[in-house]
Amino acid sequence: MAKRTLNKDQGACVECTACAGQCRFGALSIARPGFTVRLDVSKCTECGRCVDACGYRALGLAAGALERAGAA
Amino acid sequence: MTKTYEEINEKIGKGKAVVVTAEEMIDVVRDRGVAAAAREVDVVTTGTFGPMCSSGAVLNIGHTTPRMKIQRARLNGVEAYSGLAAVDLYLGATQLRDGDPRNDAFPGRFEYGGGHVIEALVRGEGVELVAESYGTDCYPRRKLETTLRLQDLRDAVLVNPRNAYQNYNVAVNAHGGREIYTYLGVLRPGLANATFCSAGQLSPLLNDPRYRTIGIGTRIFLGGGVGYVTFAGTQHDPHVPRTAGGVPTGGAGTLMVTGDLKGMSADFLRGVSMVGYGTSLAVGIGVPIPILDEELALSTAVSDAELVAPVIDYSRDYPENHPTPLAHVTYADLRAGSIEVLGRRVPSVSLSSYALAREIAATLKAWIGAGRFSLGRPVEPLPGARAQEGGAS
Repeated sequence: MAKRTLNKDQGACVECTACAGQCRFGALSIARPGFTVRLDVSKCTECGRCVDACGYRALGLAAGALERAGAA
Repeated sequence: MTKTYEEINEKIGKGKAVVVTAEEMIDVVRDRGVAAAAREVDVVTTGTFGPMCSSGAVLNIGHTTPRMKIQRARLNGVEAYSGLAAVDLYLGATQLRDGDPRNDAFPGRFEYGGGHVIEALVRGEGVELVAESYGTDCYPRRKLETTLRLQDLRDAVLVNPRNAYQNYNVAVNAHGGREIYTYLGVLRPGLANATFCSAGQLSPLLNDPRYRTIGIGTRIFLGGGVGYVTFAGTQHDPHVPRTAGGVPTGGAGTLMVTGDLKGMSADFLRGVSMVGYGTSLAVGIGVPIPILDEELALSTAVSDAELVAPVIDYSRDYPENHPTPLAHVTYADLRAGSIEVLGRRVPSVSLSSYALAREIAATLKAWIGAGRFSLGRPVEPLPGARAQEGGAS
């Protein structure tokens, strides 16, 4: 399986936090008290649930560094 | 101690008005008391940002040469209603682009719709217009294909029939055997998650629950520009049961709002694609509330701990139109991240942006503080609640 990386487009994100509600692995969480979305890609399992949940197309799973280097 | 709109506007004009956000007002009343807060604070600003499907724009493209009476029109492939005068169009936020597969391959992606076209216009991007007509003696043209930008339009007015709901449902999936895809997001079966969509203690109508100052003619922050409350929104219902403090315990009042699209910003008007559901437009709204007396000082100090919302099952009860609440929960619990429903702890997240709601309230505070935004006295109040319901006037 090619390694993919979860990307967050900060310009597109409105910090609604809907994505965090779909993440079961702690990769996306709510940073309080600012109520912004915190991303920890090391915990991401590439399930893609957050990508579906984002109404603003601010999240995407793109080819990661290993795949781009042809090593995956 | 009471104040008038005129006195407050005079202070705004002199740059001497004391303006705080609805969040800050909670601390002011707690620390200083209601009477002092009513004396010292002139205006409380509110804010909300979230998908508001009943939104759209009236666009007048200007007359063509030769003239044309548009019968059908599409903007970037999205149909705009043209059953108006010759070159007036109404572009609705939830209208889908032609050829969208909808939910044929479930759940649909709904990549592009009217809300996205409105966002593109506000960003200054070119939008492709394709229009057709049957031709008349006075409007002979039958076909038009052109690229429009916001500045090319003769008029572009955001006209949203129902925005800024006063409170709203918390959605769960209690009975479904699979994930469901709703306008309140993706809901997993077995009460696995809950979603809500209100700014709670920052929300405009929750800070003026009896519509004493928010009425027809109120000047507001709308989509990053200036707008107005033009009427009660569709489905406005002031008779929803209320708390002892007079705050509705479910969806109640709504606002119809209007403003010049040319003065707005894509930071506060965003197209939305909801998987399995459709498209929408996320709208930023902020309403200033003049502190005319102690009652308004008290109502604008309401906190999330005092505000409750109904938990509704969207797998069966809502679609069957029997939305009996499974529970009522506070916005404090919702915001903290979990609620109790039918004896279970259910994680909760917001679909509206509290961060942007704060930014809107702070921006409106800055505008008023700088003397560039005065308060509009309503020319008519919104329909109000009956006196017997929760003590509302």
